[in-house]
Formats: sequence, C-alpha cells, structure tokens
Amino acid sequence: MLDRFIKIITSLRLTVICLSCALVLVFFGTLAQVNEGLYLAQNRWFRSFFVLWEPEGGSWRVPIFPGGYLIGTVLLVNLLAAHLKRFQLSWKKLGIHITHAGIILLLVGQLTTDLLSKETQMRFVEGETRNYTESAQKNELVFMTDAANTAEDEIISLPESLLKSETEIQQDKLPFRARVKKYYINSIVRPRGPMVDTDPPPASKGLGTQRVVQPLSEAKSMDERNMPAAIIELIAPQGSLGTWLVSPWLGETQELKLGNKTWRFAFRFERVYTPFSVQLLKTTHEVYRGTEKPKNFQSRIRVENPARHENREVDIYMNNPLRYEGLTFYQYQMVDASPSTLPTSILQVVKNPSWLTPYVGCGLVAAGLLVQFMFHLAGFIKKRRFA
Amino acid sequence: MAWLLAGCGKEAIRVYTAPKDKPPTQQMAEQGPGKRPPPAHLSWQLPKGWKETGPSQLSLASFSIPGGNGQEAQVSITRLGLLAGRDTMIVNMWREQLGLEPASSEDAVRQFQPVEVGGEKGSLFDLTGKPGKDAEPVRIVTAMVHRPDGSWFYKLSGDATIVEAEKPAFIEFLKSMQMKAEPVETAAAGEQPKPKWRVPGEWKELPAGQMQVAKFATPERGSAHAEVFVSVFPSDTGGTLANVNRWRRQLGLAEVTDQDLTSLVKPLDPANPEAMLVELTNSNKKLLGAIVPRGGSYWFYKLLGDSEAVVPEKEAFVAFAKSNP
Repeated sequence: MLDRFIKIITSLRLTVICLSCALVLVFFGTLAQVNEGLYLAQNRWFRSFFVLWEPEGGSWRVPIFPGGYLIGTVLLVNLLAAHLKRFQLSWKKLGIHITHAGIILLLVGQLTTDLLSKETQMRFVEGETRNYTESAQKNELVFMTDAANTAEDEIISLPESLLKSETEIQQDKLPFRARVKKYYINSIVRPRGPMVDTDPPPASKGLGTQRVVQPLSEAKSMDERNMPAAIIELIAPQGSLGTWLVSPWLGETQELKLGNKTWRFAFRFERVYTPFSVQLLKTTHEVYRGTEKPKNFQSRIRVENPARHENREVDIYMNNPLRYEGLTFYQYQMVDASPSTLPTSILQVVKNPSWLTPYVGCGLVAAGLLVQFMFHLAGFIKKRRFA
Repeated sequence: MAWLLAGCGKEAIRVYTAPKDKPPTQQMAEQGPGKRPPPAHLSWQLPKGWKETGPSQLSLASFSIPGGNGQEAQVSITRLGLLAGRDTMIVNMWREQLGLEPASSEDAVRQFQPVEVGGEKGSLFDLTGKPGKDAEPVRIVTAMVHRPDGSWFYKLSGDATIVEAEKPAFIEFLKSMQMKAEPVETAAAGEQPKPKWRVPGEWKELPAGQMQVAKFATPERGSAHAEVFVSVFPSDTGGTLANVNRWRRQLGLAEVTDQDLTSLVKPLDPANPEAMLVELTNSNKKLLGAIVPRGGSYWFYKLLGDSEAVVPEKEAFVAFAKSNP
C-alpha cells in the first residue's frame, strides 16, 4: 500500500497531470474574470483548494475542479518526493539539484507571495500628510477612544467578514456589544429627499437618521470597489444604545458618549499604519501634446521617519517606485486640480516579503540548466577527443 | 503547509494604537503657505418666487418654491462621492424613489439631456411617478455634473404642476451657478492660512464635520459637556428667522414667528451692527448661536450642550465669535 502511494506520489505521470490541470485552470480562471471580476475569480479559481460550483438559487456547492492551492501543493510534494527518491550525491547531478531547488523556490515563493503580500493605496491632495495606507478592497468597522497617550487613539478594528455574518460581536475592550442587524455588501448611501423618502430612516441614531441606503449588487469590475453599509445596534449592559448606520459613504466618524469615555466609530477603508509619514509636495501630470494620453504621472513626496532621523524628498513616477521599510510605492493614479480641489495623487503601496523569490528561483533554474548542459558538453567533447 | 499558511490569513479583530487623525484645519495649517485647498463657494441668481431655506446636514443649499393650494416644490444641491460611469444606477435610484420600474442601460442613457451648469457640461433627466400607492404624483428634474471632487446633483422635485412651471427657471438657475474657489489672499501673501481667531485655551479642537469650518469641545463640567461648531456660507442661508427656527428645532423647541425674533435676538458686537446672538434653552440643554456677516460671507457659530457646560463658556464664546478669523 505504502509502496503504491510512494510510486504514485513520485511518478512523472502525476507531474504531467498537475501541469495539465494547471493549464486548464489558468485558461478557465482567466476567462472567468470577465464575468466574475479579477478578485472574485482569483479567490475562486486560484486561491482555493477546489473550484466550487453553486447551482443558481441553490444553497449548496460542489467541487468541480482542483483549485490553485491543491494543484500547487501536489506539484510541490511530487517534486520533493521524486527528488528525494532519486537523489544521488554526485557532481554529475549538481545541475539537476540546482534546477529542482529553483523550481521548488518558485512554487514556495508564489504561495508565500499569495498569502503574505498586501496591496494598499495612499491617496492625498497636495500638501497632505499620511501615516497610513488604505485597502482598495477591504473595509473595517473601527471603534476608537483616547489612548493613554492622548495624541493617540486606541482602535478596535472589526474586519468586514465579521459583519457579513450579521451576528453579535463582542470584544473585551468595548463597553458594548455590536449587533449587526443588516449588512449590505455594496450600496449607495444618500441623503433623504423631501417628499419622496417616506420610509422610516435606516437607523434611530446618528447620521443614519438622515440617510437612505440603497443596496447594490457586488462590484466585479477592476475599477470599482464595493461600498458596503451596515445597520448596527450597540447594546450596553444597561440596554440598547440605538441603531446606527455605518458606511464608508458617510466619510466621517460618529460619536457615542458612554460614562466618561467618548467612543468614535466608522466603517471605513481598512487602514495599515506606517511608522513614518509621507507628505505629497507636488504632482506633475503631463500628456502627449494634442491628446489626453498620459505621458508622465509624477509625485514629489517627503518621507519623514523620526525613528531614523530621516527627512528627505523623493520623486515617484512610472518605473521609478520608492522602496522603503519593506514597502514599494508605485505611482498609480492622479486627479487634476479643479476649482474646489487641489491635485490628488494615488500611490499603490505593495508589501511583499517574498518579492525576491522569483528572481532567485529563476536564477537557480538557469544556473542549474547551464551547469547540467556544461557537464554534458564537457563529456561530449571528451568523447570526441578520444574517438 | 498550504493549509497552515492559509489558516494564518484568517481575519481577526485587531486592537492597536495609532496617532489621531489631525483635524483638517490643523493639517491644512501645517501644510504651509498657499497649500490650503480652497473650498468651493457656490453662488447663483435666485429665480423670482424661490426662497432659500439654507443648507442642511444633507444638502449644500436648498430652496422652496411655493405654489397654490399649499403645494410646493423644492430645489436642493447635493454633492456625493464620484459616481461617474454609474449613470444607469443613478437614474434607477431616482426611478425607485418614484415607484417606477428600473430602466435598462440603453433606456437610462436615452433619458439624459445635455444641460449647462455654471459653464460646465452636465446631464439632466426628468421623471414623474408616485412614491407611494396613494401618494400624489411627484416629478423630479435632476441635473448632475461629475467633477473630480465628486458628483454634484441639482434636484427640482415636488408637485408636478409647479415643477412643470418652474423648469425653465431651474434651467436658468443652473446656468447662473458659479462654483468659485474661495480667494486665498492670505496664502498668496505668504501668510499662514490658519485662522487668526482667538480660541480659548481650554477648548479642544475636534475634527470638523460636513459643512463645518471648525469644531471644538469646551471643558467638561462633571458629566455636562458642550461643543462649538463654526460654519461659513456665502449667504445668510434663508435669513435670521430660518436659522433661529433651525436652532430651536435642534433643541426641541417650537418655531417662532418674525414678531418673536426681536425678543430673542440680541446684538453681538457693537463694531459689527449686523452680527447677532441668540440664546435658547430647553430644560437642561442650552444653545448659543451667533450669525456674523463678514467680508461678504456669513459666519455661523454655535455653542450647544448641557446648560452647566454652556453657561460658563458664554463669555469666551462671544469673544471667540467676535474675533476676526
């Protein structure tokens, strides 16, 4: 039984099956992005162990194809097992060992990139300073109160996934429970109009008493993001504190005074704080003459890091990102000045701890193949000389 | 391994400390000369018969148009997040309000007519429907302009007969709209754009809300607390009576008429005869409101909170409202 298992797990046939499955998966996963959108398709086809299919209107799902994680894991195990089984400590096999190490590094690197990398954005108008980046996809419900250091806030951040389940959320630091009464994955929140909005407001307290929530279907295209909304009831030990509407649409925090503490809360784009600050000094937006085609997007920024006594100016433009403190800042988008706004720049901020692995992996594969080829060439030349 | 790593990615509640967000006014002040984003100042030519009802928490400006038989129509100006490219959704949002079936993308686009809003190109659509089963027919004429700072909506809504009669005036009103940046003379002269007003030392600046220039918390007196709000508008937003009644409603008091105003409104500053102060009380809540015309704009100051916290701050509030920003 074990022999049979080892035979299967080390077989070249399994490698071919895995590569074929990967080929099919990439093909259909790419096509699926048309209807499902980039992020949903990536999660469903590549960041999963099985691709699940759900019948229309059904509440159950069945696996129909191995997902990216499963194919990658089996391929990695197959590669390692085969290599161990056939391992020979010999100079002649050095090239093979290096090549295999490179492929293993590529596979592991891809997995770690997928799991550990994080893409966020930094958006500011000229003159503004940011010490955080924001997710382009995720949102968080935050409750904030003064920290011991009054220049800081103590923040309790609830991920959006907790709100989706529409349950009651409790956290030791919070003097109340948050019961999610209704969650909208995508919405538009607009002011209540006179005469036409006759339904009761969505919330009994705060800004929600003056707003209307209209649900929207989930955003799928790459240039759209979901703007969720939720109706939450805050419940203190002494009873309900009312229902509140929370949504990134509101653009401001709401306040609740409880005892001698003031709590501020907001459903906002998920933030990642940085130990340094970035100020946007100047934006440059050049287009090709006579067209609207962008020629150059450029942001001049000031990086200030008190811990490193650093205060310097940097230019970020296409193909010239800033790499700093494990983050890479790319120029992403720009909004021109108008009578009511200063020019705005949006930087794409990428954190990828394993960004070097593809370079090292490819280098190892190339080196391994070169070594292996040179051994063969040397042997061939040797044979010809004695022939 | 993948299972383990995948497990690490599970989202959890995070508790952490982070620097407070700086109030916008403070942030702008720190940006240095010439860096303050000039807020848009709206101005317009008011059509005959229209009455300004002032901005609300929801709209930047609103107007009422009285008709016969107690009927009326309203006009409002609202700015939302940028909704460019979502025209079908916008039209259907309005259609849903009026109890109409959603329109397809082609039908929605067909409903748009070009319109000029203060020299900029906008789109206009015109819908009539019944918001409820037994409701009277309501007509909504909406003009929208997508700008980098958001999508602007100008809405004429109400009784269908009045809307029909006022539509030409509404179109002219849109043409007269001027969205000017506030002149930033101080910045151009190289001065700090931070307001020069005298903020009492014990007041704590808070992030200003929508339509506010600044917001402060006054010192707490036991469990009593109060806050100061400052807004500035290019007009008196409907007049003294409208503003006093708005403040009275916030305190849960009944509205008053013109005749009652003389006893409620007191002069604020002998140097500025038009500046006025209002003091309102309802049980343990108190509101001090000041309207100060200054340099073609109207500054609105409001101190609102528990009486125990408001009364000791009255003198400081009056001095603050009188100080030139």
